[in-house]
Amino acid sequence: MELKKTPLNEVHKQLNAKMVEFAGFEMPLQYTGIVDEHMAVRTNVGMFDVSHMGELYFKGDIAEVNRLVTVDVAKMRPGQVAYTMYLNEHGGVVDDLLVYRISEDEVFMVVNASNTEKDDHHVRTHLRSAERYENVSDRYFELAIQGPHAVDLVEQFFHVQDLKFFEMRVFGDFIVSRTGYTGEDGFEVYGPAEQAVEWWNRFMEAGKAIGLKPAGLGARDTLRFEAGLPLYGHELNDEVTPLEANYAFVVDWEKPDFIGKDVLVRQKEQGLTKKLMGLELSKGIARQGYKVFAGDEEIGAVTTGNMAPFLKKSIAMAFLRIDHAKIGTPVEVEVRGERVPAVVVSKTFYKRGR
Amino acid sequence: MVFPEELRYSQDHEWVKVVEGNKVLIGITDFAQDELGDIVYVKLPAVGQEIKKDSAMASLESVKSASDVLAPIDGKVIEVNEALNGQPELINQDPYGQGWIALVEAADIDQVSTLMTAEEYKKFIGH
Repeated sequence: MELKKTPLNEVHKQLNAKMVEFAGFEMPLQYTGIVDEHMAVRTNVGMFDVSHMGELYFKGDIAEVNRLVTVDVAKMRPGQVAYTMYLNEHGGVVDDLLVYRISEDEVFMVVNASNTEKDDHHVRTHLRSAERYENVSDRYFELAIQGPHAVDLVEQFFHVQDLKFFEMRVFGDFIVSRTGYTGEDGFEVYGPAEQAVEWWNRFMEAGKAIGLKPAGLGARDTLRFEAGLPLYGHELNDEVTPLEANYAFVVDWEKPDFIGKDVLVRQKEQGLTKKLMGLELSKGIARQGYKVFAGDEEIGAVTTGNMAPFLKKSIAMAFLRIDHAKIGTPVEVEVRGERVPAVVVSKTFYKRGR
Repeated sequence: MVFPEELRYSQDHEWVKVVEGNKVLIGITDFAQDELGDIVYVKLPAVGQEIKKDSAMASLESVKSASDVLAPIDGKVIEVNEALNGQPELINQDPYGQGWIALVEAADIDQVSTLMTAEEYKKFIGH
């Protein structure tokens, strides 16, 4: 199957990016190096082409789309953005997404590239009515401009400095939100696909003075991981609930109903059997699938592991049996045939100062 | 990318440098470090450890993946580059210098000449 390309594919190649396949797209993994790009975002500003992300547009009765997500969209003001999840009838996570309340009767949902088709199908299956519903993924580019100096750059083109975290504004054909997937302050800019190159160049040119660096999917992954943010297919899947994944904050318990709510309520009453936690390893690097032990007993598995580039610690996220999931519990991770001592920690490894 | 003439190269992308007599330094090539990307953890061999050609003698973890360093010759480790414990990135920055991995006493120094020359290695990786 031929790989899909974002409108910025040629730009990445001209920048000598290492290209890789991700979710059916040919995407830049890195330009100057993952650690270098990671540090640029933590300390200054970086720009990611994330045009592979899916965008689903809905116009109609908000109650319809509200049944699909764990957040109460009815309580959101136009201009607000929320991080939320679509669940299936078993409470499993279909996908995690951002929902943008564009107006009283419009929402824009930004989903994982790897799940766009599944999500589109899920939404179509459960919507009983819509004035308009469309998968508009191919029509938009998305640039994520992230880091403590992101605001200085984006403000040169869009008035956004007054936006709070998780707020958005519409500028003609563009949407700009103060959101991101890095654990830093930053913005996500959506615009017409045919203007992607023009806008990439505009930001790059304006960013020269402040040291803007292009950043690839490699740094996007290490940044989200260091900040304890989940990646679908690692921390989340159709069989894990948001409570097990330890992202219960996405659930509005006061919301009368949404798909999967009954299962979550039951699970909350009965208690969990496993939970996603952080681990800090004494040496080596954990990778997805590595087993976690307490004595001779296998009590969990790693979902993501790496050397955290900013914290400079070997850390991991792992599903752990509930009796070994308390912060401070000593465990062992089997790293390439060797049992390595580790300790359970909060999965919010990195938190920026506010 | 640089491939010094005085070194010999293995198909698994290690280099060997004869220091004196049967003592050789072993590391990974510029090509290998570039393919791996940022190296963030090195598991060094133990001093005194016997190494066997084509068997794992060390392992490297990059941000992206883990990979073994295969011994290019038979021998015994007499010194390891402890600096890599705190600064694994030395392998990326200076693969033939400060990024060396181990000093080894070769069991049969003639094994070195069976490895590729710089010219042959360049062809091997298509450069």
